This record gives sequence, C-alpha cells and structure tokens, in this order.
Amino acid sequence: MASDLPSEGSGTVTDDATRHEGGTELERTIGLTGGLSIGVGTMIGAGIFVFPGLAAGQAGPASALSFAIGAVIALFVALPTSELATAMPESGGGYYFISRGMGAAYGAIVGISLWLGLVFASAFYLVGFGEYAVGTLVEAGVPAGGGGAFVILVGVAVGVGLTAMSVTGTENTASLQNAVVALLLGMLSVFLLYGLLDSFGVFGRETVPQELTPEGYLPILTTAALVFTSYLGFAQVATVAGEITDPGRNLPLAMVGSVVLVGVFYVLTIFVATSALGSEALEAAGETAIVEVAREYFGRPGAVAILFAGLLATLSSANASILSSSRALYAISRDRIVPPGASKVNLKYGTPHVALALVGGPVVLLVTTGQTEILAEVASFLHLVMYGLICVALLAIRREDPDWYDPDFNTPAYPVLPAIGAISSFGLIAFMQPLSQVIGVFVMVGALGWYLYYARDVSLKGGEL
Amino acid sequence: MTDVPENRVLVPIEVLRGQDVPEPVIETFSSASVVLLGYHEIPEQTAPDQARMQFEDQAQNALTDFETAFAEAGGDVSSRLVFTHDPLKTIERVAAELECDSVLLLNPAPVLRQILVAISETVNVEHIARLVGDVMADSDVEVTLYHVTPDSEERERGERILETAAETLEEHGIDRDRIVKAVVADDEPLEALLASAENHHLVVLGESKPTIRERIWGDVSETIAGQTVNPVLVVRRDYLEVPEAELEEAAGGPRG
Repeated sequence: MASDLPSEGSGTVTDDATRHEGGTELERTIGLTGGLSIGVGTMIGAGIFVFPGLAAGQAGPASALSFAIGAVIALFVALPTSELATAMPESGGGYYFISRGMGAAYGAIVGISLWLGLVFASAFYLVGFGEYAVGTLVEAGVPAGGGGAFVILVGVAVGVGLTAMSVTGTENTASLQNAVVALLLGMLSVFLLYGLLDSFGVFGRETVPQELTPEGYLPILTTAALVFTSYLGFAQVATVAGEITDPGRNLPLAMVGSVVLVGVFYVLTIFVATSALGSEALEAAGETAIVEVAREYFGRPGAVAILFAGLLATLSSANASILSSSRALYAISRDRIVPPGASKVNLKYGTPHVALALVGGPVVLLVTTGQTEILAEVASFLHLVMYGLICVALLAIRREDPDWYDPDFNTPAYPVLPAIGAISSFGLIAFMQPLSQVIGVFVMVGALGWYLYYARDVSLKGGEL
Repeated sequence: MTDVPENRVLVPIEVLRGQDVPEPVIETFSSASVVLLGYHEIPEQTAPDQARMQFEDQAQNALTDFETAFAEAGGDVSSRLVFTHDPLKTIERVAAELECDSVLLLNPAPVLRQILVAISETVNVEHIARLVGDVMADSDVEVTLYHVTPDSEERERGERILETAAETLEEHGIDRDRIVKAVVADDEPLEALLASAENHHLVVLGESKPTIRERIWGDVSETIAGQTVNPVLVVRRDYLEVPEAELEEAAGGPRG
C-alpha cells in the first residue's frame, strides 16, 4: 500500500503538492496570507458590520464580553481543528476529520449540516449586504421606499449574481480577496484607534456613561450565542486544507491567527461603539449601527466610508461562504454520502456548477425571509455542533492512536482544552432562540434520515479501511 | 567534457485544452532529456481533487500519447501530471524539483529550421550556447545569435558577447556556416526581438531576474511566448547566474 492515510482520496503530502498513487499531483497554491485572508474575510463581515447594534441592544456594553466569550470558544475549537488539519490536510475540513474519526453517520450529519449551515450564513451576509445597500441609498438622499422589501430584493439579486459568477468566472479572485481584507483591516484600524483614544477622553469629549450590564448577566450568554456567527470563518480555512502550502505551519497559524485577529477587532469595536453612542442609540440603528458610530466621530465622510466598507465586507463574507459551502458538498459527494453528480465539474469553466446551484438556490430562498437573527443563529447552531464534534473526534482519534495519525501541530493542554471546547460549543447552543434551535435540530434529524435512507452502507472511519 | 550537466527540458502542456506538441519540436528535442509536464488549470471555486477525480484518466491518456511520441522519436522522456490553480507556480516548482535547466513554452511550429537565440549581457552566455549546441547539434537548424542594444555605440560590445556564444556553439557541434550573428540597435528591445522572431521558428532566451514590474505583470519570457507565434525555450535563471568578475571578463572589461 502506497498510502497509509485513511482514505482513497489522500496521497503523499509535501509542502507544495499532494501526490496521489499513479503520480498525479495536486498543487498547493494558498500561502499563509491567503489562508488568513480566507479566515478573516469570511468572519469580519458579520461581527463588525452587522452585529454591534443588535448585540448592544441585547446586552449593553457587556456585549463586548459576549464577543470575547465567542472568541475564546472559537479558539478552543481552532486549536484542536489545527491539530486534525495538520494530520489530514485534505479538502472538507471539519466534515473530513469527524467522518474519519467517528464514522460515516456522524460524518453525514456534520457534512450536510456544514453545507446548509454555510447556506444559512451566506443568506445572513446577503441580508446584511441589503441593509448596507439601503443605508447607502438613504445616505445618497434616495428615499428607500419599503425598506425591508428592498433589503430582500438586493440580497436576492446579489445572491443570484454571486452564484452565477462562481459558475462562469475563471478569473482568480484570491488576490482581490486579499486586497479587500487588507483595505478593511486598514480602515478599521484607523477608526478604532481614533475611537479608543476618544473613549479614554483624549479628545476631551464626553463619552456616553452607561452601566456595564443594563440587562443583567444572562443576555451576555444569549448574545454570545447570537454573535457566534462572527467566528464561523476559521474552519473555512480547514475546508481548503488540501490547497494550503506548508500545511504543518500555515494551517495552525492561519486558523488561530484569524480568530485572534477578528476577536480583538470585535471586542474593540463594541467597546468603541458603546462608548460613542450608548446601547440604546445603537439598538435603534440596527444592523448598520457602526455607520452611526463613524458619523459621530468623522461626520458624513466617516459614515460613507463605513457604508462602503460594510458593502465590501458583507459581500466578501457571502462570497467566501458560498464557495465553502460548495466545497462541503463536494466533500460529502466524494464519499458517496450524497450522489456523486452533486460535485460534477464542467470542462468549459472548470467549476462545480451543480454544487454551486445547490448552494445558491437555497441561499436565495432563505434571503427572502429577511430574518437576520434567525439566519445567524441557525448558521451558528449547525457550526457549533460540528465544532463540538471536532473536539470529540480529536479525543477519539488520540485515544485510538491509529498508525496514520501524525499531526505536525499538537493541541496544548490536551485533553482539558478539547474537552472544554466540546462542552462550551454544545453549551452555547442552549442560549439560542427556540426557533433557531428547532430549525437546527430539524436540519440534523433530516441529515440523519438522509444518511439512513441513502448512505447507510458508506464506511469512512479511519480504522475500518 | 564530463562536467557538462545533462540538458533537461521541461515541456508544460495544457493537456485538457487541446494543446499540441508540434512534430518538429518532438524530433529536435529528442536529443535532450525531456520532462513533459501535463497540467490542468482549475479555477479557485473548484477543489483540485474534485477536478482530478473527473479528468485524471482523460488527462493521463493525452499525456501518455505525447510521451509515446517522444519515445518513438528516440528521446529520453518522462512525465508528470498536475492539477493546479496556478500553472506558473507549478511550472517553477517542477522545474526546480527535477533540475530542468530550461522550459519550453509551446506554440505551433510547422517547421523548425531557423532559431533565434537572444543573448543579453547579464546572463551566462556560455550556458545558453552550450545548451543550444547540445540540443541542436544533430539537427540542421540555423542559429541566429541575437543581441539588442539601445545604444549604437555599444555595438562592438554586443559583437564580443555574440562571438563568445558562437565559439561555444562551435565547440558543441554547430558549424560556423549554421551560425548567424545579429547585433541590433533599437530603443524598444522587446519589440525588436518580437519582430525578428517572426522570421524564425523557435526563440531561445534566458529568464531574466524579475523586476518588481515583472513580478506583477509576468516575466518577459512569458510575455514573449504569449506574443510570438513560435515556441520559446526559456533557460532558467538558476543556471544563468555568473560571478560578477566572470561577467566583466566575458564582456571585455568593466562597463564605462
């Protein structure tokens, strides 16, 4: 046997390529910058440009703590994910680790949940994009009649457009994504630095004095559950693990690095926003609250700049999530959990048109609901289940210690850290709205039903091959 | 000369896009060791493995056909198949891994009788000449050694560089009557080269050190390959670097 890894899909991994039996090689083309850009680009759209108003409305200035809790949980999952990813640098990310560590049934539930979780996330970002489009029109003096309906209209149109572009576009968008992320981080750094200095009274302006926890302590946790969608991006780095150069080094750095980076930005943003305007004004401004914060500091130019940044950020997050979702579908169809036709690639554009349609269609459908909070929570729900199971899979694989398991990166504080990661991931689900929980459970039961109906004879666990 | 390294040429072929290897190229390069690099470029939306599962057999078959053609012409040939988002990275990586000293960028070539060897003063003239000599010795191609200078006063200097090249070519089996020397004065070296290339069937040039502009807009050799109708043999940078002192000696003293 040339391959001692747990799947027919794997081969010999080098820093620059994966070599399969028969000699065919797959080039690795995403470096550390590209990996960080995928992680940050996927995440930053939500935490800064959609959630501050909603979060401050629920938990007051303490919502900064909610973001911090989210960051810590994400970090507790990112470390075990890094270990698994360096041992199995293959496309599919969390699905791949869980199916190989715990078997096909768990794999099917997670794989299907990951596909649909990213569909929910994409819809959430597109609704956010719609909010920013309306905000831009209002700023330009165009009366955006019918507000909500217009948001949905824009979201649907952009959803269809992004899907069509992904099917037909063969231009390389990675460098564009890197530029967008760099621009966003640059703009936010200036904005936050000014805001921080102001919050500490450097400019002698009165900040809005406010009690830290005006709504009590429970909202800190429910808000953490709501805003956890802001941390869904790091695992997307693992879904392209097969394309990352020098995976032993770049995967952990990109995943942990992007969580830490966005976590710091989020906490600071909430701190600055609540100091500048106070929670009530933020709540009233809703999804585009951060625009009002910018207006407070820099006047109209600041508001326009942040509107522009918000459009870019939500668009980049939506696009990244649609592409990741199509990768998730590919991973499960490769393993025959869904029909292989789902990941068919056309020779003309070289793109997986079926998978992209199976993502774009449901995304557009969900955008029509316009329910920002539900979309975000269901996306978080489905991801948190996977995150918890990733930690469990790490515990299971380490216990069995199969021959093929040889990670370049080891999770610190094993087994305490992955155990806390699992418990806190599952625990956060308890603080969501009942409707989100019902939809999440419904998706998972549906996935299990599909597995029993279609994929019962699929065997994926590392040891079984 | 036992210390002469084996000439190994990397030939990238975009294998699923119907790119063909011209018959005269196969014949001429049968005297070198050839590595066929079959590649398929895939967009970022697609996992490389996804494309591999669907197109591997088709690509491998096409590549095997080319390999057979080289082998039948008496060549020493091997092949690699790579699915990639970034063909340039793949070509550079494989060329370095397999220690290929040159890369042949394909274009149609109905015949291969006259080749243009562009010689600039910053590269190892002898390495290029040796490579061309070894590959072309058994053929009957005519070699034009070509040097562009922006300044007509530099002519003499150009002649000297080309003479060095001609001597090396002769040592490596190309008779004098098959060698033409051309020093051209032109402000637009690239344009001049492209114009001259039209009367030839293959262009040989050294890979230049990338300037910032080239890092962004692509290497000159890629540009030439894209703009000329001929195949282009690019001698890799790693094999062209010479110590400063030797460079001065070859060019006949330090530049004023």
